Amino acid sequence: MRQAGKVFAVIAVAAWSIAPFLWQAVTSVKPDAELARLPPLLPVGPTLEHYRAVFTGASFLRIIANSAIVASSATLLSLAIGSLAAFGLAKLRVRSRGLILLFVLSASMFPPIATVSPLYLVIRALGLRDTVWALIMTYTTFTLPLTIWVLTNFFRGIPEEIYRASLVDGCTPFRSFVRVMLPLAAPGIATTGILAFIFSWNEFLFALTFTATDASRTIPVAIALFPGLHEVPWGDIAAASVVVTIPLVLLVFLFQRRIIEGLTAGAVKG
Amino acid sequence: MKTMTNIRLENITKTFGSFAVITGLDLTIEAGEFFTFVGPSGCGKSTILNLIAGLEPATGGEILFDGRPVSGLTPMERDVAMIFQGYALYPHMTAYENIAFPLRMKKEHAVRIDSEVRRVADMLGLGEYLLRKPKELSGGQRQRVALGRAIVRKPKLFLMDEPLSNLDAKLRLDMRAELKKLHRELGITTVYVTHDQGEAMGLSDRIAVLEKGELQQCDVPREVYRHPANTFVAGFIGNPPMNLLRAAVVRRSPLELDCNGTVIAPPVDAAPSSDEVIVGIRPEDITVARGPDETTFEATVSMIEPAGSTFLVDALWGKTPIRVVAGPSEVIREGSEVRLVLPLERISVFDGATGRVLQR
Ligand SMILES: Nc1ncnc2c1ncn2[C@@H]1O[C@H](COP(=O)(O)OP(=O)(O)OP(=O)(O)O)[C@@H](O)[C@H]1O
Ligand SMILES: [Mg+2]
Repeated sequence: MRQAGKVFAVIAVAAWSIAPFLWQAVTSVKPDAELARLPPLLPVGPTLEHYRAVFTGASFLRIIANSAIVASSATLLSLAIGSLAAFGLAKLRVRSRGLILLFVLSASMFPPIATVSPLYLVIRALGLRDTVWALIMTYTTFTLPLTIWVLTNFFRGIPEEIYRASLVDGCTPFRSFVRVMLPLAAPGIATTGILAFIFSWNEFLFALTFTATDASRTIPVAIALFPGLHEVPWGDIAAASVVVTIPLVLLVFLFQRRIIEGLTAGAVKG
Repeated sequence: MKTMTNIRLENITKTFGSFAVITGLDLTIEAGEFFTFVGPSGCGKSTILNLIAGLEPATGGEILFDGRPVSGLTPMERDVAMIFQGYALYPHMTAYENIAFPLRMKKEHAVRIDSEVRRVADMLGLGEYLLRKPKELSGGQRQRVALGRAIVRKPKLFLMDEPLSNLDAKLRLDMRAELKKLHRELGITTVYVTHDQGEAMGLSDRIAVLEKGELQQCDVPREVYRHPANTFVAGFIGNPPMNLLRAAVVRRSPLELDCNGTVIAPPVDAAPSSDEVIVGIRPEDITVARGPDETTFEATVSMIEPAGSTFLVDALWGKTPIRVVAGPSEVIREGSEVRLVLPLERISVFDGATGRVLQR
């Protein structure tokens, strides 16, 4: 009985979260004529026409490439800077680390809409308008607080004795970071990496403001700009959404094992 | 071969916040010595090793290696190898990689690394476990990997924090012998921490007994055992521990004591500060009386416990419980009276107020 209840709860939650995505997927293969009607729920004559529409014209590929470049660069930068900062805060003798962490956190408390216009001025002054660099820089700074916080906790969770052992065994702190600490923080790196990537992949407001052409436009903006003059091409939008969601799903599945896996088992007594 | 290093701790203090862990520790560890710290849990043994290694800065005082101050030098620059109390293995590396790690950090040649790792693994009986990760090893195997990681290189100094604590009795004896052999071969100064008295006695050139971060006594094992400097050391060193009995001072010069109704006159070198002293007698120094010309007392045997080749005897001397180690040939029965000899030459006498020994 309880088992059944649990199964039902799981199915309910799964359905609740997957339904919108399934709806999009179904919509993306419906012919235009069936789009605005409800029966039929499933398309009578499924079609790949919308996918063809999305990919004809080179610009959508260009936009996917932009998104990939922006999201992975921002993620890598955020991880590189964030893990170094977190390692320092967790394992080195840093004075007033609590204060530093609070300061880092406070930086992420401003709503994006409040920072978008000053940032726009900065970007323009730097001459980076309509380049991927504008977005890479912005996303890196916006994901850093989370990265630093999560990774600081991860590094703190690594037993002090392990870090000390590496120093005794001849590591400089940086060497220990690379050879010992970073591998042990891999689950944290994977988690924060995914979160940073998803944020950068989906971000809309800054992308809309800082980009002007296909040279730097990213997916969310491009999809929002699909609507034509007289009608909204729901089918094309759905097809595009499905295409850009798949990399995220793959990414999460790929790193899932790492995230769950505890890495420090057996390192210290007890 | 590397020249051996001596270590001098000059008036070392260490506080964590407002909590003083080490208060004014002053001692020299001679070059090539096997030096052991013993003391109850929380007395600061691991802290001292961390200070020597350079993993914690001292709050006050100075540490010198061969007369040169080392404050500000990293563990690497001090060239120490350390076995941590909690093993501290690298969980993402196999046993092999763990042991090889210090050599890799020194950029040794790959071929040499391999032969060294295998040599150490053979010595520690780890051959078949080399490709396992720490989480796939038992506690004793992990401890041996930790041992291997330390002894695979030839540092200036070994620091070992209870390196044998998790091994079974036989393996512990084997490893103890290996450590002794290793120390004899390499002659590297070794600072050792243990809870095990037998280990401390068997391995060490000298022992330092600590309590609450203060040095109680520092001497060769035999002296610490034979002539404990105070009642703390007397009660801490030795298994079963020394009998400590209260005695009243009957005469001051020469000293005569009333110990449970028996008047004894043990040789002392200093006068007690009060009218009461504490008499310390090792259980194995008490024997069953045979001749008439001895200082003896009557006791009632309450329990006999076989302990391998000897017997542990709990007896009541009047109302005072007393422990005796009896040889296998003694005829003693539970509940019976027995006449025991007080070994006057081997009795320690401690000041009743300060607990300090009054001899030597
Ligand atoms: N980082 C720290 N912060 C605060 N107190 C500490 C710290 N490290 C150790 N202490 C305290 O210092 C005292 C000595 O600790 P230490 O680890 O040196 O004891 P120990 O003699 O090695 O004990 P054990 O035999 O249990 O290993 C303990 O009371 C401990 O609580
Ligand atoms: Mg300790």
